[in-house]
Amino acid sequence: MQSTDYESVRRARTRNLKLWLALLLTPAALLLIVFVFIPMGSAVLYSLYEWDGLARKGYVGLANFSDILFDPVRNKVLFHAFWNNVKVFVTLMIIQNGYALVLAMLLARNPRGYRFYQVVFFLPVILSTVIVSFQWKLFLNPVFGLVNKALIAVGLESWAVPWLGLPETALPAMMLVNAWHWFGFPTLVFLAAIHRIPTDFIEAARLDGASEWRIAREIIWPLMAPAVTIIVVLTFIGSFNWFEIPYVMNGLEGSPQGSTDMLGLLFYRTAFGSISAGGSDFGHGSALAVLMFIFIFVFSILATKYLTSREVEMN
Amino acid sequence: MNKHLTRAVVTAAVLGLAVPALAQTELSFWSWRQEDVKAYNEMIAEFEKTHPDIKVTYTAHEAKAYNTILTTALAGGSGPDIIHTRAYGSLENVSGAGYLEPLNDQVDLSNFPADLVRGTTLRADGKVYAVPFATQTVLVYYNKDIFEQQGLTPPATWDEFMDVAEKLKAAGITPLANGTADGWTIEVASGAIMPNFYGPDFFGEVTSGKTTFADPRYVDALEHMAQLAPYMPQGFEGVDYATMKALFTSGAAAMFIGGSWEIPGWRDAGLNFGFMAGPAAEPGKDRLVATWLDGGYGVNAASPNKEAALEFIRFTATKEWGQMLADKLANVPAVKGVVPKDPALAEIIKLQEHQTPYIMLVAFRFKKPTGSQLLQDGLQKLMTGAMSAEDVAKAVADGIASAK
Repeated sequence: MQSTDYESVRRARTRNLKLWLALLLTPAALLLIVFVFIPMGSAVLYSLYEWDGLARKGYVGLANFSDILFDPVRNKVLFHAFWNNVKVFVTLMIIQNGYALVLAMLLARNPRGYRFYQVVFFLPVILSTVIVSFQWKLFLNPVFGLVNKALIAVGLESWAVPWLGLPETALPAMMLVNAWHWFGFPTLVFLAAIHRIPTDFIEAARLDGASEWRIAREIIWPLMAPAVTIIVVLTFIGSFNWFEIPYVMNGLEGSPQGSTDMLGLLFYRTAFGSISAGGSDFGHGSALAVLMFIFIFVFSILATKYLTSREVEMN
Repeated sequence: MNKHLTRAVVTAAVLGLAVPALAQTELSFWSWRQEDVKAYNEMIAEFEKTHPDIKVTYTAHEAKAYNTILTTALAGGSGPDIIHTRAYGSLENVSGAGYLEPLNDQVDLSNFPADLVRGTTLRADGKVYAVPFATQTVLVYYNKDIFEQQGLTPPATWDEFMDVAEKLKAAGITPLANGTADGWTIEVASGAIMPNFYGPDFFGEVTSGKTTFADPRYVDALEHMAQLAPYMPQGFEGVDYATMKALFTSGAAAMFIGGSWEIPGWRDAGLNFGFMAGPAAEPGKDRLVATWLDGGYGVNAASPNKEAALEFIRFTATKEWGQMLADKLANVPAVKGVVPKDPALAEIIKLQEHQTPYIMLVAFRFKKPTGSQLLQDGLQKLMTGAMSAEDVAKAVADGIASAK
């Protein structure tokens, strides 16, 4: 009898706890619904209408979508921007996450000043993206900028180019800024994943005479796969939603010559207009936002599924 | 429909509670002119002197975000009673949607040049939706101290201009502060140079379809633009608007092509400057300046205080208001007959005797891609030598033809 009493108390406690949890989650859920799900729903609705400036005109079905995807004037801009987003994703995977992986592997070996490096690497992450972009815009200024002054000081005059002004260098410069801003985040995630690996695995391998490279490749790398999955998917989402850095550094038009145009900038220009790009067009802008959402959502899920299936269990 | 009624009732209730004794109508007035807040408040005070029952609150939003903030507010059924609108395509975006009150029988605009009233007229219904406020003119500014030190006189023709630029460059001074990083600044610069080569008739012909931007006159104008590149700052491709201004105000660059709105900034910087129209193509030819209407004042059609707002708008259509725009803000007023106290403004009004519309803004910002986008992209390519003048002209012409 004693045990049933205990059981019922336990059950009642669990029920109470569940109620509390539900209650505590409500404000966050409400915020999400009001500020995320409802606007998302209204974007879908807006995308099905024709807009004249700010006024919603007739229902046009999927015409806005077909305009964006198949009209040769519009889709040229769209595919150009999309291609730039692809470049950003691939490059960030290599320079930002690759660098982070190397750093995490090094930090995992507990070097002298471990704490110091950990803090320093993470510091840029906590800065506001707008501040980082603006600061680097000043550093890269061809007239007053630190970067070119430093290049000239070490005798690399020919390298002192207007980084943000040339179509060949503007996007790479921005991607480096992004990597500078964010590399600390994947570093920490990778580092945490490596720390989760039981040290006996690595020590056992070492005793068996495995090389450090082999340990990294065959023990650490497979066992940190869940962290890699998270970082790949987050980088994917971030790359295809990339907006703040290109917007602050080179403006809404993807200057120079469209070389830094991104889906996010194109969406903003289309939906809200700009001084050079003309008036707002919520219909096509919403359609573009919906397409971006579907693309990112579907690919993130597929990528997560695929990457998770390749993860190995740590048993 | 009930929303407005509810808002009106709520507003009335709140106002009734707050100021039961005065029964004052409060008007909100939105603008993008953050730098003008003080002057606008003084100008509004003049209106309030004669209209003690109306109180106007001026709010300036960040210029880049203004269109977005305004359009979002209007689409959401709110927004101010009085709207500082832009002109041409940007105005159509707002007025076309029925958010602005037509002013035709409400405000007397007979004292405004017809060319400028066109900037606040909706092409579809021919109605005027805002009182034109000020014009902008593209000017070539020069640093008087540098010109004096170098023994140079302001150039009147293209050949003289090139000669002056060459001499400045030889003396180690950047002749021209302009860059191309912010596309709009190079479009503005084209407004000083190009009209003198494509001539006064081109605007009418290209807007009526008699010719296109592939016209040899336009190609010639672009070719002359390209000749400026060697006289722009080193790394001009990365020189943005802020850097351009820093170069000119610091005396590192001797000339700056920009809009008439720059004057207060140069004065604040304590610069000894002069300005002129762009150089004439040949000696004896008129020097054309590109001008446009900067915007206007409109009334929110959904305003619960429409009568009071219209009363204020009528005041902005007076010569008195125009005089204040000139004297307090150094704006060149759209209203006729103002004699500014400021000699610089009087000079601009004189330069405007030979004016031509700033082409892409005035006539080609209604469809997408806009003429401004096409020209800015083309000029960035032209100035770096990535594209020839002929190809740029063709790209602009094709882009305009395919715009929708």
